[in-house]
Amino acid sequence: MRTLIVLITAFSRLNWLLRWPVRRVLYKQIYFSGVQSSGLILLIALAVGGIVAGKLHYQIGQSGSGAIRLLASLTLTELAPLITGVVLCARSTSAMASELALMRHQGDITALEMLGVDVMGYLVMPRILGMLAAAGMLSFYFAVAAILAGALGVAGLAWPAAITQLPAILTISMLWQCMGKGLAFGAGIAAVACRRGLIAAGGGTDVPIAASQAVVRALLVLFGLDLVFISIAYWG
Amino acid sequence: MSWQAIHERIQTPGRRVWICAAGAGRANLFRRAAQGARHPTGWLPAHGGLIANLRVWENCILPRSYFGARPGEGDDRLAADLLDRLDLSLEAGQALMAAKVHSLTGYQYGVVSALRTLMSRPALIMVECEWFAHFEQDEAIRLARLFDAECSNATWLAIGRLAPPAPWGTFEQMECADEAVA
Repeated sequence: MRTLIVLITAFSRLNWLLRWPVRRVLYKQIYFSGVQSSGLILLIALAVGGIVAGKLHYQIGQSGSGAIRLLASLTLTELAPLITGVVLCARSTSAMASELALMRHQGDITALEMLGVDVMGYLVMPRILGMLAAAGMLSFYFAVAAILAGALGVAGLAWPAAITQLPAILTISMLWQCMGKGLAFGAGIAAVACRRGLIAAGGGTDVPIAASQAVVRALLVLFGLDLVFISIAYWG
Repeated sequence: MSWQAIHERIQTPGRRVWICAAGAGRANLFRRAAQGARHPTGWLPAHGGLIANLRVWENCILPRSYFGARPGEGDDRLAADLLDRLDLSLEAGQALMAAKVHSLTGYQYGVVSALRTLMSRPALIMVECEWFAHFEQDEAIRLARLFDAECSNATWLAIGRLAPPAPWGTFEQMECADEAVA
């Protein structure tokens, strides 16, 4: 509930992006969570694409095109946003929470308050927005890489022909689902990390505690949100 | 004296107020003053007070760019001018501006927080009295003149056990009621 309040408060300050220092924090967050994670996401996506397509084709006995179709559908609607979220939880939420907790400990946050700088607008909103953008883009990037790796694993050098069949079976709603889940997961885990970092008591030992708790709570939020998405899809 | 009375005093341009307080009471007084003031406010703490994940230059322009326009050549010129008037050579000034905050000495923290305040030209400058002790007499005179020139209408609110030293002008001492610091 408190995380939701952080999220709403952050989004109510979107007009802070007109301020240059806030935009700089946003760009840094996109660079750290998005650009710097892209190599790791690519490796994991290639592995996941190869593993899932290999399982479906060589062990379960799906035809080559059937395996790629299943992989594409499964990746876009589920695996890409979820695994991207898990990677970002491990990589970025701990960094975000510990950075904010350390800022509290060192008196940086007090200094910002004394200067009249709005902490939610300067520190929290651009971090949530940056993570949201990074998660959305990386989910799509993950899906594309996994599908290509799967197609290459199943169809070999004939992978372009296998890929050309995909537009007939993939719907726009699957793409939206991938992007929507990515955005929601990014916003959720960033809000958890920011909140945990900001409420740190200020002692040095609270920094690692904030980092580890942020990862655990962000993972819970991530899987909880995924369940909500599945429930909505099922009941809707 | 109630908080309302103190607040009215620090609304008057050019006024210099000293309150003898420390600890949590001082932090509360500063917080209330910052909340009620027109931003940006100047902040000269005894220790720290800079944003550790920004470089010195980014710290100096943070309030100015947050409350104003995107930094440009005007900021570079102003910073160079201020460093020159602080008798810092061009090389030393550039090295200081490019430095990371964690590499600064206590004295440099004091100088950088002064530069940040001078660059943002605030209406209210809040000082923890220990900040004054960073500077020798000559440096204090030079810095005080710089503040008089750049922030001539600023109100000073100094809080701490020791009275602000002579180069910083005459501060009016105020006693504050318990409710003001609570």
